[in-house]
This record gives sequence, structure tokens and C-alpha cells, in this order.
Amino acid sequence: MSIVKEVENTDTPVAVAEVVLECPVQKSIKEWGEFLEEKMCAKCHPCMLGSYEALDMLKRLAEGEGSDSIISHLDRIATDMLMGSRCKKGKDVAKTLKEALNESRDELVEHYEKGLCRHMECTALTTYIINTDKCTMCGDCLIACKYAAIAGEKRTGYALGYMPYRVRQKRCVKCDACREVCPVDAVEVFSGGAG
Amino acid sequence: MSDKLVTMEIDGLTVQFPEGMNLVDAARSVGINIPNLCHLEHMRGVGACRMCVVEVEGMRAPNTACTMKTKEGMKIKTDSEQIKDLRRMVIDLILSMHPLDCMTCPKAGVCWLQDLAYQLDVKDSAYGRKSFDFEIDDSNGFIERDPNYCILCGKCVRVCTAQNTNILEFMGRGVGSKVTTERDKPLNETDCTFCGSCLDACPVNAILESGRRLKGREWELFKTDTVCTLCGAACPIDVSEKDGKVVKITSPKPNAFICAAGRFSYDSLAAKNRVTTPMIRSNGELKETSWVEAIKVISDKLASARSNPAKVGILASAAVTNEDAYMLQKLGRAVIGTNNVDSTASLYDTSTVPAYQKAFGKIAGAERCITEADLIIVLGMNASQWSRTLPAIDAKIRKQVSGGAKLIVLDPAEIKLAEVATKHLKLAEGTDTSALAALMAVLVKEKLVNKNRANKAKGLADVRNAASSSDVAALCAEAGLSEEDVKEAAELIAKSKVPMLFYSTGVSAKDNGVDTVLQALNLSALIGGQVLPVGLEANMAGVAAMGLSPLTLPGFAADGKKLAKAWKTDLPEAAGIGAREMLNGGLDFLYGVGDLPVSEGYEKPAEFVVAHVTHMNEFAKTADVVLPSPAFVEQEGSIINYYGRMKMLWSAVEPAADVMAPWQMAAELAESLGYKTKVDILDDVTEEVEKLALPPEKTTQTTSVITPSKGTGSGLAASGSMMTLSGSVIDASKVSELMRQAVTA
Repeated sequence: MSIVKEVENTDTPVAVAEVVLECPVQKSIKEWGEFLEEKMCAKCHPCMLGSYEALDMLKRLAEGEGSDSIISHLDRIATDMLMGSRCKKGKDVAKTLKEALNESRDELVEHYEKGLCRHMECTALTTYIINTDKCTMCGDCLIACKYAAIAGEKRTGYALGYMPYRVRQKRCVKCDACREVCPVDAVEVFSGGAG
Repeated sequence: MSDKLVTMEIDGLTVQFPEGMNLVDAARSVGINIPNLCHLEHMRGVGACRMCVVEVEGMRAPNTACTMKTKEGMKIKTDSEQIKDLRRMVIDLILSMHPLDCMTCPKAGVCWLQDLAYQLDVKDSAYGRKSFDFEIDDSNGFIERDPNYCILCGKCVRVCTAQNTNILEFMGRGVGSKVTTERDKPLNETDCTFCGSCLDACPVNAILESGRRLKGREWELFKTDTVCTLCGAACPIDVSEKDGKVVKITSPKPNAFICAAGRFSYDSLAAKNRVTTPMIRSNGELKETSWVEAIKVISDKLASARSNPAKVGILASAAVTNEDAYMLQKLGRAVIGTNNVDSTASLYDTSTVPAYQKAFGKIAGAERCITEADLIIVLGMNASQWSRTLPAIDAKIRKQVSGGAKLIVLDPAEIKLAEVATKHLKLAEGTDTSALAALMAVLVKEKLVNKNRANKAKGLADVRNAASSSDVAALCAEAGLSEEDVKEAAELIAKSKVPMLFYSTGVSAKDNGVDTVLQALNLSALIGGQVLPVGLEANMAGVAAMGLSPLTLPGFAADGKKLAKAWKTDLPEAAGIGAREMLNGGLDFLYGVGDLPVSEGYEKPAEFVVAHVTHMNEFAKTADVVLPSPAFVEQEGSIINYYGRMKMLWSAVEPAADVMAPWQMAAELAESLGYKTKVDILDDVTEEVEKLALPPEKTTQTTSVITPSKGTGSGLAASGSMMTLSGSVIDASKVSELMRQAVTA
């Protein structure tokens, strides 16, 4: 999901995290968020009012809220914006949503029907769990986690009786730091159903 | 908009329209109402709300009608399923952020959003309800702003910008944006002139009259279409009344201007200094009396005064109606036997009547409307919304310039209107005849205007010859202008299609005003334009046509034969005196009507003075008899406005006082002196006016070569105005201050 890449054309090589999104909901949220912040001129009603509503609905979808009416509302907004917007910018952003609705409708529906984000990008729908079978209790994840969401004791040699490493769900923000750091891929991500 | 017609198809209907007409306006003219929220008549469309989208054959996607113009062979469909869907969605989205308040909202019944929601059958919003809890601005007593109702159509911003007052603007972007003033200040802390153009523009309840909520529902109000008589612009107004009280005054035409005085000063109808009954002075005090008693006292005095008719005078303000003016001058000429009848117009305009009589035989009008003008020339007119001098004309000119028209200002001073002028010719004081001659010389010599363009006028060949043999350099030097400036102005004129020239007291009050007006008429004849003489009072043209002047007879008649026959009496021979002499004193009897401009501490101008006024003003304070008169929305009759068009005034409310109109009083006095008038009701006067006082219908212009001269003097200052507020004539520059005091008190 996230790639670290080297940025060229600078004096010192800098590693920048470039996020490539795959979940259609997250992609749309990013696009529409940027649109509302920068590109939208906010002069014509369908675009100005419609994009605000659409972003609101997409964000709710990312939280797993919604029903069939949300999809039909989004469809309506996208269709009407595509037809009625004053300029190409509005029409373009509407087009991407329309395409997402046409190609990946089932992925969107999964979000509220099953609470499932297939690409594990909608953080409200993902859960991080440490697989205790694989965990070697090295403690790297605890160090990596900035939010004190990992609880556990580093295993030292022969001592018996230890606290298994576990994710404290209330603190976890799904930043993926622990999973990246784990040397044995013990951190697993789940989505959908009662996580 | 050109005069060429194009054929096109709308919804299957084949129609012809002038080419280049706005599509929404064009469709409306054939009964097809394309729904819209942000369209303003006479202004460029912006296509913001997207409600007016229509399907155009040959275009891939539907496009907004307000940004399209009529073209040959266009085929459009104004409705379809997908269009309806878009319209419903826009209304739906707007409703989600609009207080669903129709139960108590004062706009119910005239609300565009309500109408469109009804037409498109949108009951409630499918989207989440949003409220931004904006603060209401009710800081002044005139305009209330409630941004919670705002649908962000931008019409108020556009009208305020087009007339260059620039008070309202969008703050923020998108859904949470708000229409407000600079730094979100309340209106009375800005330069707002409270003209209320935004009031008329707002389709919903976001901008409303202060106190409107409690005064009745729209369908309970009875609207009367009449004319405001407070200044020379004579704006048409719609007076809404309920239970005999004025509720609000609005503009009957979309996107037309009324100033704050015309819109909000109706509470002066019940002001404390309103004259409510006739009063007679005894022992230095004014005592209330009856009409019968008052008429008896006046007619007794008049019966003895008429033995010396040269010492009797009748003076009215030029804001009285035609019927008033006609009967007053008839009282003077037919009954008393004096030509001392005049209106206050001669205090600031001594040129229009003699000049027009020479050129047309009457005060001719303009056939076209300012909204068609693509070039406006302003000569000696300091119209300004900010000093409230002819504010409507200032707003109209600025709106035209905002829409692309060119403006040439000829004025020695840096008047406010010059800030939007394409060319400001700062000529030397009084040299208008030279400047205009220079323009004509350049136009003819450089062949910038051809003969086809000219209006039909006798003597134009002489004028043209004189222009072609003039010394442009000398004329420019006389006028204090550079040849380059004059050439640029002439080129602007050459490129125009509908030129219009306005002039006012800066020209007409000078001693060479007659020549200047004639010269302006020459120029307009050459370039195929129209001239509009603008007076400071509403009925300047009408009172002159009715003969309320020592210099003219009713209908601009050349001699009094027809009148003498109809009136069954000889007309007086001795020349009459004018307003200035009458007000300076020396008469035995003076009958003054309306707001006569006298300053504080004014001394009584005659032995016996009758003041027929609406409010106790300086003139009435020393009068022997004071009579109540109908005030500005209570008057009924006709006036002739500065376009030369006759406009009807209809009484919107019953007078708030026991009044008698001046025409009635004149008839009563005539009868009491033994003259049979045959006048019972207003229609009788109208009939007589139609028979005897209407100027000839069609006259051809006569032009004559004018020798340029330098003029001096000016009657009433060109920048002052005769606007009145609760009865006293005050300096126009004080009006803004007084209004601010009134609302913060």
C-alpha cells in the first residue's frame, strides 16, 4: 500500500513516503478533498453544493456507514455534476466518481454491508492483530508504535510467564508501522465482519 | 441586441427574435419560462445556478440558456428528463442548507425557491440538513440581511457591483460562503447608500426590508404602480399597502433602480410636521380651520388683489402633476388675468424650454431607453448616488458602463461619474458650445459620421457646412481641451450605434444655456442620437408643457387664440415675472404650492401668502394660510418625465391628512371668483388637458448654426438637489448624514 521511494533532483537523496491508494473510497475522498480545497471555483451550484455532500457521504462510507441510498445519492450527484457543471474541472472530478461507481460498485457496497475494505485502506474498517503463533516477542513493534498501542514484554531468554504482545485496539490508529517493522510478519490486518 | 431578426425553434415552436438577445429573456417573451435563480435581466448571464440548462441541437451536453444568445437556426428544448433531474438536484441541494421556514417567512408567495420547488415537486431535501447559524444584520432601519436564507445566487453582488457601489461580496468559498460586506461589518458601518437594489434582486428572504416580517403576507398587500416624485429621475415604483398603510416600496421592473429616499421615506407621510388641516394665521399664530373657511378667506383676498393682476403670483414646485400645473396657470391667466405663473424649474433651468421650443416647438422626448445605449455623453450633470443627486440616473449610467457601454463626460470638475468615464473632457467653465462645436468639426472633417446616420432635421446641411469649415484648433483652445482628446472622443462617437446625451443644470442654468442645448441638439442630430434634458424635479417637462411659466402657454401654443376661445376670456397681455422675482418679494398675493426652496429665516415674499404644502417647511412658516396637499404616493395625476414620456401617478394610499390637490384648490378658487370651470373630478381636468395642453405629436427637429460663446453663472448649484425629507428642503449632501442619525437614534 505504501511505497518508500527516493526522490530525484535534490542535492541530498530524500526518502519520501508516497502513498498510492487503491480503495475506491479512499481514492475518491482524496480527490474530492483536494478538489474542494484547491481546484473548485465554487461558483456553480451543482458542483459547489454537490461536492460538499459527496465528500461527506464518501467519508461516512469510509467509516462503514451507509445504505443503498448513499450509493444512489453519489450516483445522482456524479451524473448531474457531469452534465451540469459549469467547467471541465467539476466534470472531471465527477467523471472519476462515476467510473468508480460503475467499475467498483461492489467494493463500495462491501464497506457498509460487510464493513469490509478490501484494500485495507479505510482505517475505520481495519483491525490490526498480532498473530501470537508467529510472534517472537522481539519488541520491535512496541518501539515502532508511536501511539503506545502495543502492549507486551520483551522476551528475555529463559523467563517463563510473559505478557503476549497484543494490539491495544482503542489506541491503534492503523498507521501500519508495526506491520512494516515486524521481522516475521506476525502483524495481520483484517477487515469485514466483527473484526 | 441588433435589429436583425433570426428564426429559431424553442420546444417545437418556430419563433423570430432580434439577434443576440439573451435566450432566457427571449423565451420569456413568448411565454416559455425557463426556470432560473441567478439570471438578471439586461445583464450578462453567469451560468452559476445551472437551473436554466436547455438541450441545444448539435451540442453534446445541455448548456445554460442565460449565457446563450439567440442565433439563426438554433433549436432548443427547454425540458427533458435529464434536465429535470439536474434542476431537482440543484433545488434539493439548496433546500438542504435553507431554513424550511415557509410558514412564517415574509417571502412566501414571491419566493423563487418556493416556486421552483413547487414546479419541480421537491418536498424536502434528501441530503443532510445544514445550518451555518449566521448572524443577522439588522443594524439599520432600512435593509435587514439574514445570510441563513441565502442561496448563493450572487444577484445582489452583481447588481451592487454593476452600479459601482461595491458593498456586497462573497466571503469564503463553497457551501459555507456568505454574502457580506467588507470585513463582515454591519451595513451601517459601510458606504452603503441603502438604495435597496439588492432587496429587489434577492429571490429569497436573505435580504429584506427592515421590519417586513410583521407587516403582512405578500398576498395581503395591494400593489399600486405609480411614480416617485422626489427628484428629477421620476422612477417608477410599486407601492405595496395593507389596511391603508404603506408596507414597502419596490421597483416594478426587474433590475431597475430606486434610491433610499424613494424606497424608504414613506414614513414621512405621517411625520410630526405633516400639515393635516387648513390653518389660518391670526394674531401671529396658525389656527386650525375648515376648508370652507380657508377658501373664503383666500378668495376674499384674491377678489381684492386681482384688481392689480401684476401684483398677484402663482408659484408651484415642478414636482406637482400636470393637472395641478394646468389648473394653476389657468387660475392665473383666465381668472386673475396675470402671466405671473411659474414653477421652481426656472430657478435651475432657464434653457431647456426656449431651446426646445426653437428646435422642436415642444420638449421632445427620447424614443430609445438607456438600456440600449452603447455610448453615453454626460454634459453638465453631476448625478451621484452618494450625494443623492439624481441617483437613479447615476446608477443607470454606471450599469450601462459595467455592461460595456462607453461614457464621455464633459465637465470642468472632477465629478464622481468621471471615474468610470472612457473619456473625461475637462473643458473650461462655460465653454460647452465650443467643445461641442469642436467635436462636431472633428466628426465631419474626418468623415467619422456619414449622412445616413443623422436624424432627420431641417438645416442640418448648414450645421454640417459650418462644422466642416470650423477651426478645430481654435475651438479646442477656447474650450481648454487638447485636439487629441477631442479626436479620441469623436472616435468613440463614431464607433457607437446608439448614442445618448444627458444634460442638466451644469448647462441649463448658465446664461448661454440656450445655445448650449441647441448645440447639443445639433450634435445629436448629426450622430443619430437622443438628448435627454434632466431637471432636478420630477415634472420639469410637464409643468412647462402645461404652461406653468410666464414664457410658455399650454401645449407650447404659439399664440393664445385657441386658448382664449376655449377659456371664454382674453388672455393677459403684460409679460409675467418668474419664480426668482416672486420669491424675492414685492407681491400683494402669492399662492405657493409644494416645496419652494427657501432657506431658514426666510422673509415673507408678499402681503398675503398662501402655502399649499405637505409638511410645514420654511415657506409655510411665514404664510397667512397653510393648506394640506397630497404627498408623494398619495398624488394622482400625470407627469412628463425626462424621457418626455407621460407617466400616470396613481394614489397608492388615502392621504394621511384632510387634503385637497392643487388642481382642486385652483378650481375652487376660480369658482369662488365667478369663473365656471366645469371641473368636478380629475378626469375633467385630464380631458381639458388633452384638448388644449398636449404638445403637437410629431415635429421635425430644426437645427441652426450656433456661434460658440462663453457662459457664466449658475442658478441653483449643479451639485445641490431639491430632494426633501419630511418636508424641509435641505442640502443633498446632508441627506446621508441625516439618514444615519435617524437609524442609530
